[in-house]
Amino acid sequence: MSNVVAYNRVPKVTFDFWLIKLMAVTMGETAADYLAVNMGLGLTATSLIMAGVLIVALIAQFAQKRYVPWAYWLAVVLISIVGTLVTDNMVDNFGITLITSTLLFTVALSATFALWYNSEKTLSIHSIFSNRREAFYWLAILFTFALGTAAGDLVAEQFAIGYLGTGILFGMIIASLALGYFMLGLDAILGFWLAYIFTRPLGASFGDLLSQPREYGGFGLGTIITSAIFLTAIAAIVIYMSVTHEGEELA
Amino acid sequence: MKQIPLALILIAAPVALFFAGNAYLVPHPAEAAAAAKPSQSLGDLSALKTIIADVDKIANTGDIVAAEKRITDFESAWDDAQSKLQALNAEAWGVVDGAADKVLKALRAKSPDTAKVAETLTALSVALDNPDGVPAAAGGELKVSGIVVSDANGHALPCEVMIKSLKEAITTNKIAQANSAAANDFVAKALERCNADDDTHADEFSAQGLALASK
Repeated sequence: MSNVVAYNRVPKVTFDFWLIKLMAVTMGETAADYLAVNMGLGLTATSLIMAGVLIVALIAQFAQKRYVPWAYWLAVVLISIVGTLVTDNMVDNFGITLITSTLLFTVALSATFALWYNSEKTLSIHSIFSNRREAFYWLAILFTFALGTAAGDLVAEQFAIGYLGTGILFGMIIASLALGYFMLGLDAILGFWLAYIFTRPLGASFGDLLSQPREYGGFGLGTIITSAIFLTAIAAIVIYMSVTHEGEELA
Repeated sequence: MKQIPLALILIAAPVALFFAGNAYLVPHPAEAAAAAKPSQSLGDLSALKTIIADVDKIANTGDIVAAEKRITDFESAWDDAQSKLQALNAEAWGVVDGAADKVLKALRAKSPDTAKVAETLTALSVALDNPDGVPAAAGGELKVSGIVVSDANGHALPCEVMIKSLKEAITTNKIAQANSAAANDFVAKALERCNADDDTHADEFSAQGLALASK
């Protein structure tokens, strides 16, 4: 590969980007539930195995040196699964309360942005062309997922507004942020990361709404069918993006 | 840097809007629970409760003869009110009447057992407090199998906390070995609900598991 042209290694933020991100999250939640409950390996073993798979996927993504849809979105789906498992682990196995983990991930995410800005003098997601910048980018993604999971679970726990209610609440927050970005001059990078956090509980609540049994307020599709539906949709969009080269840009 | 305040407003505004709409459309969980809780169907039983408290005090001194004398006041008051109370709620009347019969039997036994008297008196005062068989909830606390599963506002307790105490009850053998399989089953069910962010149902399973400790 020529070193003269530097590609942005992560996609441009388009409508399809958010669509696929939301589905990746939904699938992450249902797949994590399925793996932890049905595989019979227990939460700890499942988490370690999935973390191993994630590391392989991230190595593949870093090796591309440019945005390749399958590698990028595979890493996002796996981060979504591992992020959910990590939060479940912290709460179930280590007894850390959701309030503590929400604060912990807020601090970790802020620290990541501080170090990123300190080192690169920018937080731009349009110029991820070095391994170091890409490492900051993925670390921030990991913490937004973990923060979104903890904050979403906290809301579900404190307010008991049901899966649909939670979905509507976070949908309204995202709509408000979009309004702020398009009409009120909300900074693009700040808006992007905030939307990234809030799409986690939005996607998770829709995943739960579809997959959970009717007696518990879901549609009763089950975790396998729900995960399969979203995996298929993600694969279709990834193929479409690969063919059309949507989301690719020069750094 | 007016970006951060702008972002906070953009997040807070829809949250406020949502909860305002939610409060308008859906009754508050604690209020709903309070509304769903049937009021005491037998009306005011405080006069009867006073007598039973008296009997209990006397019985505690060991003077069963005096206690038996005082309970006759209860007996006649209860019999006088029978037709009125039975018309209000025959089932609730039966709950109290059954408990009262046990007290009378214990007090009038040939050789009264003070422990038995105390036990039946406690059962009777519980029945008088709550003749409808609804757990006597302090404030808005909800209970399952006699175990508190919510805070005073009717919010489900964090499912992780309840699962932890259930697990502890199993490992410390508070739950009999014979019931440990059933208890572990409740742990699994509660964990499954808990992971699906469904604290209310998770807590119900945990409470059913914890209730095994008293068996």
